[in-house]
Amino acid sequence: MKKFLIQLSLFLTIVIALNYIYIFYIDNLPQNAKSSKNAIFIWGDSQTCQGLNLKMMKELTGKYIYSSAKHGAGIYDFLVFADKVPENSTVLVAISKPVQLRKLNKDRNLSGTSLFSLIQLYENNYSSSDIYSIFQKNLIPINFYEVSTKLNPCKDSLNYKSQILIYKNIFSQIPYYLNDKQNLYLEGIKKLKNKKCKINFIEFPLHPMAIELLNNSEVRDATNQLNTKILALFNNSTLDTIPIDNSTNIMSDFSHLNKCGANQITRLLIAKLNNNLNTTLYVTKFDPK
Amino acid sequence: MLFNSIDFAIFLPVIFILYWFVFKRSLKLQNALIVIASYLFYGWWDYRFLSLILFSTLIDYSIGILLQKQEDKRKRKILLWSSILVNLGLLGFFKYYNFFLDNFISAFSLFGSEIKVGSLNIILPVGISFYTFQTLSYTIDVYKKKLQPTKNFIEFAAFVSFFPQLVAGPIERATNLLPQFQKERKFKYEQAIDGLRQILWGLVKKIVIADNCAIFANRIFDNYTDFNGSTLVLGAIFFTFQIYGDFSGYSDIAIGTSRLFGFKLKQNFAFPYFSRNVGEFWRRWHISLSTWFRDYLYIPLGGSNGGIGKKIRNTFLIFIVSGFWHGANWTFIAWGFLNALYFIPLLLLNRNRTHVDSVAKGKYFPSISDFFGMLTTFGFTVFAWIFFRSENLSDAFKYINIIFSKSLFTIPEIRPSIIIILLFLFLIIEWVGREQQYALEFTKIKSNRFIRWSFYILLIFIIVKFGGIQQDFIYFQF
Repeated sequence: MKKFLIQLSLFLTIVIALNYIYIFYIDNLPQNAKSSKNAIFIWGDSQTCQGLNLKMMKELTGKYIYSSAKHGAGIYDFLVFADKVPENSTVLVAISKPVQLRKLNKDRNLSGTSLFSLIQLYENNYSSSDIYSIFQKNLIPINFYEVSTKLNPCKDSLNYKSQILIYKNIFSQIPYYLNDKQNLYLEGIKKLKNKKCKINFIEFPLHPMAIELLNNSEVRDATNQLNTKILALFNNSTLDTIPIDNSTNIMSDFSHLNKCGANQITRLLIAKLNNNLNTTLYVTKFDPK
Repeated sequence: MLFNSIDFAIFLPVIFILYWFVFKRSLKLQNALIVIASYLFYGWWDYRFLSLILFSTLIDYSIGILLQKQEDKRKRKILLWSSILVNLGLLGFFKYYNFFLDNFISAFSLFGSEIKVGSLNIILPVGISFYTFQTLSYTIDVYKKKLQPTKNFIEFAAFVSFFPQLVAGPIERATNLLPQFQKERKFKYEQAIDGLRQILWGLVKKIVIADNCAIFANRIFDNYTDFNGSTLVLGAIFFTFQIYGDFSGYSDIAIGTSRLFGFKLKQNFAFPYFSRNVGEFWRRWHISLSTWFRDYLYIPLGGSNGGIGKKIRNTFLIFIVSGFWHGANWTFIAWGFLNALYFIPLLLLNRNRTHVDSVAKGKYFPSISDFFGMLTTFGFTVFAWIFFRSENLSDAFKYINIIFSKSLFTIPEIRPSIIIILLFLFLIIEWVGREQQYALEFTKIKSNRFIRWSFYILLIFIIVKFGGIQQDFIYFQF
C-alpha cells in the first residue's frame, strides 16, 4: 500500500505540475492577448463563428482579431469574456435570439474557471446544481481565443425541412429563464462598459423562413427587448442596419451563414466600424432590392 | 454519479481510504461500507429508486434461503418463478409498460377499435436491466444447485449493489462475484496499478472517443435528411465508435475500480471491432450479457442441438430478446433481428465457433483474409447500428435509403479531421493491445517507467485537450 500511495502521489504531482505549466503556456500564447492595443475582441455563439471571416477582418482593419465565439456559447462564457477582456478594448458582441432562448443546460459554458462569473450566476437565480455543473466542467484549462474559424462552404440551396421543426420548437414559447438570462447579459455589458471598452453589437441574419416563424411567435418581442435594454445602457448609442444581398444563397442553415455570407457581412461591417465612434447595434437585414 | 465527474473523483478516494485504512481488519465492515457507498453512488442520481434495489435484494435473498431449505421440486419451481416474475415484473413495468400499451392500442386501431388508455409517465430507473439480471442469475444458480445461497444479507446486498458495476455492468454472475465478498481481500500493488491503468483507458474511450463521436453522430442522425449519403455513412461510423467507446469505456472504469478494492470482474469487451465474423463479434461484444442469455435462455431452450428449425428459432429468439433488453423500441428489436440474420448462415455452416483466438496472434499485421473478414464484419456491424441509433424504424429505413443513393459517391459534408486522427490513433493502440484484457495493459510489458508514465501523461493531456462535451453513458438508459 505504501508503495502504491507513494507512486500515485508522485504521478499526480507530475500531472498537476505539467497542468500548471500548460495553463501558463496557454495564458502566454500570442492569441490570448492581455493588451487592448490595436485589437478587436469578439464574443458570440455559432452564428458569430460562422458569420465572420476573422482573417479578412484582420486584413481589412489591420488589427489583431481575438474571437472567443464558440458553438453553443452561453451566459457563463459571456461573463468570463467580460471579465477577461482588457480595459479600453474594442469589443464586438453578438447576443443572438437562439442564444437567449437556448435551454440553460444546453449552453456551452466552457471558458475556464471564473469565480466572479459563478457568483453572478448565483445572484441571478441559477440553481446551485447548475452552477456546480458549470464549475465542474471548467476545472480544465482551455484556449480562450481563436484567431481563425472554419466557415461553412457556399452552397446554392438549403435543405430546410428538418430546420423548420427545430425553429418552431425554439420559438414555441417564452422560456421561464429568459429574463434572468437577459439580465445577466446586461450585467456583462455593464462590466465591459465599466472597463471603458468601445462596444459594438451585431445581430446576424436568420433565414427568411426562420424570421417568419419568429414574427409569428410571442418570442419576438420578448427577445427584441434585450436590444432596447442594451442601447439604453449607453448615452450616445445608435441602431444601424447592414443590408445584405441575398441574390445568391448566403445561409448554410436557418441561423448560420455560409462562407459567402460571412465574407459579405465582414466587409460591410468593417466599412461601418471604421467610420463609427458611437456604441452601435448593427442589425443585418436582407436587402429587399 | 457519473464516473467522469468531479463527484466521483472525490467519492472514489474517500471510499478507498475508508476501505483499506479504517475498515481494513473487518471483512464485514468492508462489505457494509461497499453497500453504503453503493447506495450513495446510486442515490446520487435518484434516491427514490434505492427502494427498488432494496426490494429486489430482499426478494432474492429470501428466495435463495428458501430454495436451500426446500427439496420438493414443485415448490422449488414455484420459488424460482416467484423470483423471475417479481424481477421481470419490475423490469417490465418500468421499462416496457408504455411500449406494450402503445402497441396494444395501435394493434386494436388496425381493426377499427379505438382504445383510450393514457400512458404513464414512468421514469426508467438507471441500471434496472443490469441489476435485475444479476440477481436473477443468483436465484437461477441456487435453484440449479450450482451455488450455495448466502445467509449473510450484507454480503448479498453488496453483491447486488456493488457500485462499480451497478448501473451499466458488467453483469456479474453470482458464482464469480459473490464468493469474492465472502473471503478476505488483500491489497495488491500490481492489481491496484492495473486497475488505475484500466480506469485511465476507460476514460480515454469515454471522454475522447465516445463524447467526441457523439457530437457528430447526434448532429448527423438528428438532421439526416440534410446530409448526403457519404456523410450518413460517416454518421453511422461515428455512432459505431461512440457506442463502443461509451460502453466499453464504462466497463473498463468499472473493472478498474473494482480492482482497486481487490475484486476481479470479468472482461466485458474483447476488441469486438477486430472480429473476423459476426460469430466472433458476439463473443467479444458485451460478453456478460451475451453469456447470460446463452446460459439462461439459449441453452435451456436446447441451444444449437436439435434440428435446423430449432437452431434457427433459438437464434432468432436470443437475438431479438437481446435487442429488446436494450430498450422498448422496435428499432432495438430490428437490430437484434438483423444480427440474427447475420449469425444464422454461420450457425448453419458450422462456422460460428471459428476464430477463437485474437486476430493475427503474435504478429503485427493480419493476413489478407483476416483483414477482409474484419472489414466486412465491421461493415455489417455499422449497418446494424443504424437501426439501434435511429429514433424509429421509419427513420432508419429513410437513413439507409439516403445512404444507397447517388450521393454516397460524393464527398462527406462533415469532415472532422481531428476526431478522425484521434480515432486512428485509438485503433492503433487497441490493435497493439488486442491480446490483453484491455488495450493499455500492453504498456506494462517491455517498457520502463519513464516511457510508461510519459505515455499515461500524454493520454491525460489528450483527455484534457481533446475531450468532448460531457455526455451521459448511453447504457444508463438500458
